[in-house]
Amino acid sequence: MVTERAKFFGAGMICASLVAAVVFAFDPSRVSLFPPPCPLHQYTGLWCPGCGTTRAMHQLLHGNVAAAFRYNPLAISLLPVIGFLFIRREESVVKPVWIWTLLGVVVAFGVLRNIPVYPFTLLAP
Amino acid sequence: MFKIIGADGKQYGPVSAEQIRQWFAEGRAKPETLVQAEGSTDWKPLSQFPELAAAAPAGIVPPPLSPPFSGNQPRPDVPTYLVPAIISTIFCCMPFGIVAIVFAAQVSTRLNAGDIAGAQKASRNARTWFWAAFFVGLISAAFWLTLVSHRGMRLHRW
Repeated sequence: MVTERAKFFGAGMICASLVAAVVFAFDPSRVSLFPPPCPLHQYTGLWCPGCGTTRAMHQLLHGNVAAAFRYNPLAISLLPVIGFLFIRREESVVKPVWIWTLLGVVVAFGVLRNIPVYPFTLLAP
Repeated sequence: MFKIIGADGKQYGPVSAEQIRQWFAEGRAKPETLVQAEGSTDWKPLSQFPELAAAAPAGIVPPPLSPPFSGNQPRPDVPTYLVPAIISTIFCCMPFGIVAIVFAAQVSTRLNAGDIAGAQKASRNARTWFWAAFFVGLISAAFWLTLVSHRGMRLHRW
């Protein structure tokens, strides 16, 4: 039986592969056409927690883990988490406190990377 | 001290005999719940431990409470949409993804508290917000590409 989850998983894998192929091919730090800029950053000048993810993924796909980490340490750190959640598909393995912690980390990261003082500038892409 | 296996199949403890007696009295642990005494390797049903089963609920049995000790009731499957929430947060550059994470956390918290209706409501909210993040991300991307192809010039980056 093809469950809802299996379909979701399949669709996720296909989308991820397509995106990965495009991100592999183009270097977002050189090509200005692709990908589209973060609208939040364009209008407010603020770095959101996701800014730098595409550049980070491009570096990661080319094997440069350190460079990827510099662009967006949060996104790189969350990749194994996403992988784990995809594999362990029972929702009950996730305790509420983990999700609240994740929320805290994401928000804190979003705030800290906007502080224009060293060492927080390291977090900005 | 004892270890106990919850309704979710996981081990909990070590906890004191008094704690297990209390769970048993509350109906969260059942006579058939597996318990392991410290220093032993055998798992035995709670009813075989006289010191634990002493507080058997007489008469009215309270309704089973929330997991992990809710007996045979399966945990209802209310999706948290945590994965799409995370993905939309780090890929779509939209604050909506964060809202979706808030609701995902709410789903989980309410499920654990036994509030199924509340969890389902939060679950629907989580779904709405992660889709909002995806769609706004897509629309702004499409808008951007149209703009750029018209002007054909270099602008900001993601």
